[in-house]
Amino acid sequence: MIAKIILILSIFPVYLFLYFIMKKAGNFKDHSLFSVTLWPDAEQDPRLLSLQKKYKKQLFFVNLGALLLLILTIVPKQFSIAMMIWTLALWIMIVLYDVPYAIAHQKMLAYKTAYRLSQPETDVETHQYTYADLSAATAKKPAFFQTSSLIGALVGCLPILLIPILQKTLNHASAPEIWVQEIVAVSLAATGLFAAFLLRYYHRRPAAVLSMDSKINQQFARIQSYQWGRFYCVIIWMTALLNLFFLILFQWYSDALMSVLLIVVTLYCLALFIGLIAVFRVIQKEKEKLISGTEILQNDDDSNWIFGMFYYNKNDSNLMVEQKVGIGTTLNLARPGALIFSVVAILGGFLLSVGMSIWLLVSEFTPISLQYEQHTLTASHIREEYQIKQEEIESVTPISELPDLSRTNGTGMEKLLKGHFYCRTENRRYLLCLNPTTDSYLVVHTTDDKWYIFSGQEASQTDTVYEKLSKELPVHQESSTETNDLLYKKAPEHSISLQSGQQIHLSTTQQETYESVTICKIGGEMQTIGTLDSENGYSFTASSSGDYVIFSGEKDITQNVLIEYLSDDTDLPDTN
Amino acid sequence: MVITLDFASNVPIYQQVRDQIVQIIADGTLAPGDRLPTIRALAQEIGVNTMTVNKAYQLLKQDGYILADRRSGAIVADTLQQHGRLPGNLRDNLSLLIAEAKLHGVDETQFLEICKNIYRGDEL
Repeated sequence: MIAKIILILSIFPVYLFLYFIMKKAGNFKDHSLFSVTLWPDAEQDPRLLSLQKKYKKQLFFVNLGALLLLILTIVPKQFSIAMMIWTLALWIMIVLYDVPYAIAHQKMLAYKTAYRLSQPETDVETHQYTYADLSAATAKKPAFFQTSSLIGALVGCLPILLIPILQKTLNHASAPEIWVQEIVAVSLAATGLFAAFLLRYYHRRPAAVLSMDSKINQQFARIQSYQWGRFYCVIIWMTALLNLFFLILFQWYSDALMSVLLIVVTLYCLALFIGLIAVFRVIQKEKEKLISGTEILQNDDDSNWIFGMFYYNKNDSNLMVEQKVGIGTTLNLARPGALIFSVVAILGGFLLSVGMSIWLLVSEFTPISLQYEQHTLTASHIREEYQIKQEEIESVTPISELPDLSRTNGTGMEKLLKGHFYCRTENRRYLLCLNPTTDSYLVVHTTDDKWYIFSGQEASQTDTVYEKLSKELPVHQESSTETNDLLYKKAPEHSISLQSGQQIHLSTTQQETYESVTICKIGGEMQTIGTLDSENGYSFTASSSGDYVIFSGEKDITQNVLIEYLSDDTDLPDTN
Repeated sequence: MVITLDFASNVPIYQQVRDQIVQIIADGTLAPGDRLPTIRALAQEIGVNTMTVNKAYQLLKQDGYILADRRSGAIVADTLQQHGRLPGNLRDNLSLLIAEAKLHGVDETQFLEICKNIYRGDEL
């Protein structure tokens, strides 16, 4: 349930962002509405006001639907189903939020055509005016924060080099695999470098032509360059610091990785969102100040905006253009590179997110398999298989409760724990492939000092495998009744077969006294006897049928102990 | 120095660029010796191919309005007003314009008045 609430809370800012952006898109901007350049006196046209109202109403209902869809994620018990609904809801919403806008855009175009036809001297020729400022082409383009951004992007690359060095020198057991750390570091470094490249590209873009007065245009270009330059610079440095923060987190605090990661990434996105809105507002305010009292030039390029959202202009060689509505820039889809990038990004994003949901679904509903056959212990789940040969096993310990583990790299679901986990109390890394809802697990320690915890889908499967293992392998039995942590390095040479309820009396010969004596059932519980000698014998009743061994400390003394059968079964003990 | 281009017009873009620069030079915004933007910078600013701007600059150079140099770029020619006579092709254009004005009922006085206003920059 907590995971599902986190899921809902994490998507909520995205919904808010989309709603905010689309609501703003319904306002008049730069003498245009719904990406259609206004005709004379259009702002006083009552149809436009009613169109705005209708648009905002439709947007509200879409938003309501989005929230209801989001609440649906609470209903399924399984996390993977909730995740699938969450992913599909996100994509449906991205599309649905755009529908009212596209409808309003088409209506505006119809109103504009009707207006042109109603004019007595209708200009039958269509025009597609574009303005360019020669002064901007002659003058040196302003390029604020370019150097500091580049330095920030390079600082962000440092963790890529530092990870292998730190991993080698510190060698913390809690640190995730080196390739996991490197993927995160490379991704964040690439984000910083890409942002630095975007800023460089942004500084080279054509200057916006607001007025016939070149001074106004140049002043506006400087304001835009400064504001966006500062925004990009902050983002690049934030990304670099985030990368360094992850480096520290991975090496020293990786057991709190997931929760810290979620909080930090959410804060990062929130800062990005707030920064974006702030920059947009400042630029708009400065723009209004600059153009007050002057005639505004507005490109009448309605035909270049498909549904008012996608820019397609074959005559424009620019790859990126300023959004007609909303924040930032958009790609010119008439350029092959931009079209390919857009298709790959959208299709890739969709397939990746849906594919991941399907993978989670398959992971959750595919049972874990644990078996011991042909002297090989095999734990498998979907296509992942962990195989340990008998000779590689140092010891196997059955446990009924998992130690306190934190995930460093792997899958964590209600019925599946798979991958690398770290146990702080033992300062040990475990490789897991188990169902945490069962109460029977096997801790396997291999000769190359690796630790595994396995289980079958059901506890019975684990128990069956353990029974097979215990007959062939060294076992390290967990004490369920005592706290004594007994470690067997060798398999017991002798054992006594007892039936459930069978009673025996243990004693020694006159010369022998044993301290710290325990009687253990192989694969079962252990009982402390204490000191055992010829005078202080001990009566023991088997709680279940099975093979029993007697130890003094770590020494197997089964063959040295005198056993007297007290129950009706008077057969001699079956000593191997 | 803002130029306006109509991408839906039948007039080629290079011709529109050339005409707009001529107008800018004529109204004195660009004086003789002033530097014009580089072909690449202007093409980027307008959002057209560099070949388009190159063609416009070739026409301007051909008509003697600019001087193009590989190292220093293009500059406005300083011998513009020394000729004092209309080149043959412009005289032909003007003849056609006067004929069309006559057909629209514009008499000589009216035509000269319009010319005066445009020449002074009132309607330029």
